[in-house]
Amino acid sequence: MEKKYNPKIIFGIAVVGIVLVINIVWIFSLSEKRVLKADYPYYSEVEDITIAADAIIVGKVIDAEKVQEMNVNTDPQTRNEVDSIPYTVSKFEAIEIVKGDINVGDIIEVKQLGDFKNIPEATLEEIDGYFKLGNLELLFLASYDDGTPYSTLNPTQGAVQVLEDQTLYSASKYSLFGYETKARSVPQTLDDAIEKISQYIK
Amino acid sequence: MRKDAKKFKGTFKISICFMMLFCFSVVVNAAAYIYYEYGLKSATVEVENRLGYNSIYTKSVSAWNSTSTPVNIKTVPGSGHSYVISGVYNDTWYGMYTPKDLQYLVTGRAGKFTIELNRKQLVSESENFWQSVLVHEFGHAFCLGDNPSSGNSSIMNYDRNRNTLIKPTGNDVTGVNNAY
Repeated sequence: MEKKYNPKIIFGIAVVGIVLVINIVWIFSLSEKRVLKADYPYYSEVEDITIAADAIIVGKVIDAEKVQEMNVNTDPQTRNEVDSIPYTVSKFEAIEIVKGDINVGDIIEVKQLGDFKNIPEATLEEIDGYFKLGNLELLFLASYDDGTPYSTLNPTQGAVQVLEDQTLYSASKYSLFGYETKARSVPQTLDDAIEKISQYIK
Repeated sequence: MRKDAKKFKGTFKISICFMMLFCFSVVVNAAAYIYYEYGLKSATVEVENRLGYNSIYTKSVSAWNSTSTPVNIKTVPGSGHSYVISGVYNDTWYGMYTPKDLQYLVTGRAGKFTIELNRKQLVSESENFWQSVLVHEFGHAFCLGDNPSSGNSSIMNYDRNRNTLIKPTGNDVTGVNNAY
């Protein structure tokens, strides 16, 4: 006797199967697919990040996405035991100086952990935080005496994009500026931010 | 025909229930931890202690080995293994995890890792602070990503109190058990 399969049941099972597959694929797409991971300082207030920064400037990106392998370990006892680390280095023209020993017009190099294309740092990749040519950024920087490029204080708070209308933008919920949220009141323009920062500079 | 229609309806309703349960569990789990796919393929790992701070290293290892997870960090001498080391790095991170020997063909996970702690950033911090950073970095080795939530709900959060949160939380344990 011929077995007859109910097409509606088959269809129903097929729909369920497809939905399950979509969910599984969606779950895995949520997972972080990056390589380098770093634990950074977190600044809960503008005062804290202002004090911590060696320099605070508004700069324009004039060169970007240059990857360099660097051994930034200055400890002579362990320097040769560690591998070089990939960094993405950008050049900035200083447009406005808020803090630090930099002059308007100076060209400085700022490094970001990871190779933006092949081995990015996880958070920078997640927030699309690697600097782009032509962008204007409000930067909170750490400086080094031996000529090593500057570093931002951390990937989520150390740089904030300045848009054409002078409003600030950040994709990170941890940013002290420029992240849209109803729960917080944060400076949304560059002038507001500089005014706030300047309160804590002596 | 009526029987078949009833059967189909029943099957469909049960399927919808399972789907909703599945989606709900995904949402709940997504909030508690984030899976990081470049952790180790095995929760048992041999690690060289090149840190130079034995108390911090030992306590950090113990913080993970004492969890109700498959994690088993074995400290070994020699070379060629995963290792933990400190240096004075001209950068702003406290600690960095780098996966090595990625198993591209099967899981994509790492065969071993390096963890580097930055004395330039940690020099004036307490022993608890150091431990919080190292336990966090070990968390990446066991497939935990950053910032699943906020505050002291996870050792993987940037904004945790590093002086007081020095061991994995229940959320972190759940995440590791899910990975292994």
